[in-house]
Amino acid sequence: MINLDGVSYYYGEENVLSNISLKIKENERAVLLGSNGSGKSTMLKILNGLIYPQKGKYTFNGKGITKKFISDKTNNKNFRSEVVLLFQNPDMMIFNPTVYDEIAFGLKQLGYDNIDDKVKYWANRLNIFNYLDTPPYNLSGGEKQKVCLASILVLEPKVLLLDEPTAHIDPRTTGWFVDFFYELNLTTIVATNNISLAMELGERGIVLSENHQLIYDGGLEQLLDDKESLLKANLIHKHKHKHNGLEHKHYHIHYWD
Amino acid sequence: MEKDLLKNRVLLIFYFVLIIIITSFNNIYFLTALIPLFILISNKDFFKILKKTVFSLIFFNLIVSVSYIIMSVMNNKDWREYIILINLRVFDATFLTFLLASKVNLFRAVSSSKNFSFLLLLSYSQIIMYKRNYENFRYSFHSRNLIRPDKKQMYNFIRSTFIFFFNKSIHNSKEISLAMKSRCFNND
Ligand SMILES: Nc1ncnc2c1ncn2[C@@H]1O[C@H](COP(=O)(O)OP(=O)(O)O)[C@@H](O)[C@H]1O
Ligand SMILES: [Mg+2]
Repeated sequence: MINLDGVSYYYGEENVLSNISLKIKENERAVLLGSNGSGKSTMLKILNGLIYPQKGKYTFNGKGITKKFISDKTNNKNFRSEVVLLFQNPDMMIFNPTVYDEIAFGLKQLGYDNIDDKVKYWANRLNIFNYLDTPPYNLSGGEKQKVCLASILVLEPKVLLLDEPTAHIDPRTTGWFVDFFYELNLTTIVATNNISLAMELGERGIVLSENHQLIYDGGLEQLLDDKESLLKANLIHKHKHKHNGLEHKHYHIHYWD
Repeated sequence: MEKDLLKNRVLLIFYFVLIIIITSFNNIYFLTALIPLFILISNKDFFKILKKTVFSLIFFNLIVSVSYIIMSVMNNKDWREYIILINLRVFDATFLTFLLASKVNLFRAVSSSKNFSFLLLLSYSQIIMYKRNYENFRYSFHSRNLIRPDKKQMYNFIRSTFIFFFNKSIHNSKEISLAMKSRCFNND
């Protein structure tokens, strides 16, 4: 379904993705791991057809996703309703006067029918029905995240890309989110730097190193035993603790989210 | 209904033209002359809008002004004219924005003109983002500066704040337009 072939990306001179190749099949649930600045967000933006790699190719269902492809109106509409992205910062996605309008926005752009039913259905599923008339700016981080999720899931996409979905929400909402996510029947790619959360969000792990290369692609369980890759990606670090006066050496997990 | 829409559109176009003029003219007298005009148009809402305007820009203007004054004094330059100019300009632009918002339902007025709403949404989001950032910075400034900062610290703080706002605003605009693209916004 998704196919990256030797993809590299540069912001000006700075290389932020280096020769990445991978395939993702329908209904696969992948977790994209890497420390801050490793290129996760950039990769998701490429997969969402927002920016285009300077080297290599990205194909979705056999079609090359290029600037030219996206500039065609029909292609654009089809692709945008099939592949959706939850941005790292929900504030960037919010720009409508009410929650209702926010959820309905994409449907209107795409000229769908039954907008009202769809909006209400997803507002219900995401527990934000009571906020439909509220301006989304005034909501808490967790609620904003739900509004953003509703506004992209309402399009009934095939692929859901999530960029650090728990970075702006509290632990209770994180718990809720994991349960909600589990019930979705979609192809998903979730970016995170929290490896303890990763296990809850998928079966396949894709790891970007700090020098922007793909250093691991395989089962998440096996990844957790692969201390070398985790260290290299700066997802864990080694340091010394003292317990009851005895010194231990530990591998340590970061909780940055 | 139809007539209302037309009126809103005209007001909106007028607003954009004025904003462009305000942000590009370097004439203090012109910028000052706008103020009585604002009083006239806003009528009994004047003080309400004035309050909003002053609150939302006082911190930003203070930082810009103080940093500019410090830099000018260090370089032996005259700063008065520039300070008056920039403060007036930001004041005019902000006041005008709130004035428009009090007269027109901005989103309704542009709902069928995609290019326009694109511009508007961008600036609207920016205003909100800025407000948030001012607040954060005000708090961090207070919490980290229980003791009076010396000149150099002050200068560094102002400089980094300024650079932060600048980069942040560029990054945010890029990110917002990507998010809009992602959500099928056709700005063509
Ligand atoms: N719009 C941009 N312009 C220039 N550099 C950028 C931009 N966005 C991200 N970067 C840089 O690219 C690198 C990778 O960023 P990103 O993809 O956001 O990483 P991650 O999501 O893994 O934290 C970082 O060094 C970041 O500073
Ligand atoms: Mg990121």
